[in-house]
Amino acid sequence: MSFPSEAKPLWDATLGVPNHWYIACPASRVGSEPIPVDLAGNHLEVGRDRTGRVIAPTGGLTVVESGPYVWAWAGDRPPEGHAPRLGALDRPGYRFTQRTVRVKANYHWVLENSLDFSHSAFVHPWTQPSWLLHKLWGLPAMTATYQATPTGLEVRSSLGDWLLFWHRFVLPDRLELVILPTSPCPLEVVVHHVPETRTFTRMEVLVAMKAWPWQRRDCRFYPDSLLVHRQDVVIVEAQQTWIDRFPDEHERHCAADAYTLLMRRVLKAACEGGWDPGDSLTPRSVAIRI
Amino acid sequence: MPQDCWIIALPSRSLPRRKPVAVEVDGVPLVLFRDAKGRPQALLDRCPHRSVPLSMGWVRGDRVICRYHGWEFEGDGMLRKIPSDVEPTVPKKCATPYPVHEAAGSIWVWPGTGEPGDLPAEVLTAPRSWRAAVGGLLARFRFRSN
Repeated sequence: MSFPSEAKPLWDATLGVPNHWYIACPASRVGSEPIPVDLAGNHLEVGRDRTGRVIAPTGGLTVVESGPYVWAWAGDRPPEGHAPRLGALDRPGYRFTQRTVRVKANYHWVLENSLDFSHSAFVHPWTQPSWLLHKLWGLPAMTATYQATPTGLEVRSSLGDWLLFWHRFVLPDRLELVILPTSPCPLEVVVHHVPETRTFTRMEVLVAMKAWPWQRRDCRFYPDSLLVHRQDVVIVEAQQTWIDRFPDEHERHCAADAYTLLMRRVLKAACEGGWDPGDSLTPRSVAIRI
Repeated sequence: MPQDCWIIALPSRSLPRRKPVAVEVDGVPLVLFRDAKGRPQALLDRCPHRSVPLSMGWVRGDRVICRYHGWEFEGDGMLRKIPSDVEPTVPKKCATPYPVHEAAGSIWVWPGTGEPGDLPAEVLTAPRSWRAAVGGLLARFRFRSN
């Protein structure tokens, strides 16, 4: 299998894939007093009417409440289907935490950063196990099996026969990560990368973890951000600054970029009218150290 | 357009070992670092992989290491290691090096694209810094008094 060693990014900075549902805000943040929301270049206010139903008095977008989020339809067509229902919320005996992280970068770069797990050993000191593994023993060789799906792509990372991570990208902006998916209590992280403007992204992070018997099985919003998120923000914002400064420079790629390049294809096709996986549904494997 | 001339990037004492330093010389963003022998090296401050500033990383031996994915570069722009690759990395020149020289207590960089000339003779023979100059005078005084 060969990888392009040098290529330019496939897209210009965009405002996301049109005609999709995006998260406007966590539902718990919305009260009778409208709150401002930026979404795909639109500025709207989201509040609740007297019956508690979510409304957007300004902005002109359709908003609905589904699960722990308020969703808005962004596009030139009327809303299609229902707002997404997150499968992670159906895990029995789990508790859920929500956080909002803002990044001054285009959502493509934030999304790529979330999909790419070969950066963990370098960007995340003290917050990711791979950093400690790298310091102690070096990076282990793993097999990443990736394939396109009708709604995006998925990547399964295994160490021998042991499935460690399962990443799934779902159009337009969702990344689902399941850590130790075959264990009795897998940890699931669902991150939506909402393009607020061309230069700002809002990450809506939902973490599902097994609840201890004495813990409440509810969904809570935490206004603070974690160190692991701040580490990502620093690197992606620096990347965006330098991409703006060197817009014509090419990129060099390596084997670990294979699924990131596939995601670029998916996003580009989706932005240009529709993603059709075609023959990309065939799984491919790549050996990488992460 | 960067000039074809030697320009002081920063004082020698401001370039420590094992820590890359970001400077902008005549509009060119550079990362300066010292190799294992203490010699200064200069590269364009951009990792060719994902465009992250190399100055955010760190230095090990002769190499500056990108903080994003750990790609390792030497002062001549050669990519020496991609940590995520299972196979050994084939050295490849993909970072942009700049001529650099340390003289008279300063780090000099040639930001232009032309062939770098020699540093002026008075620069090469000047004392490294005021400390070196004072130290040299004292040494001469001691030498004479003996």
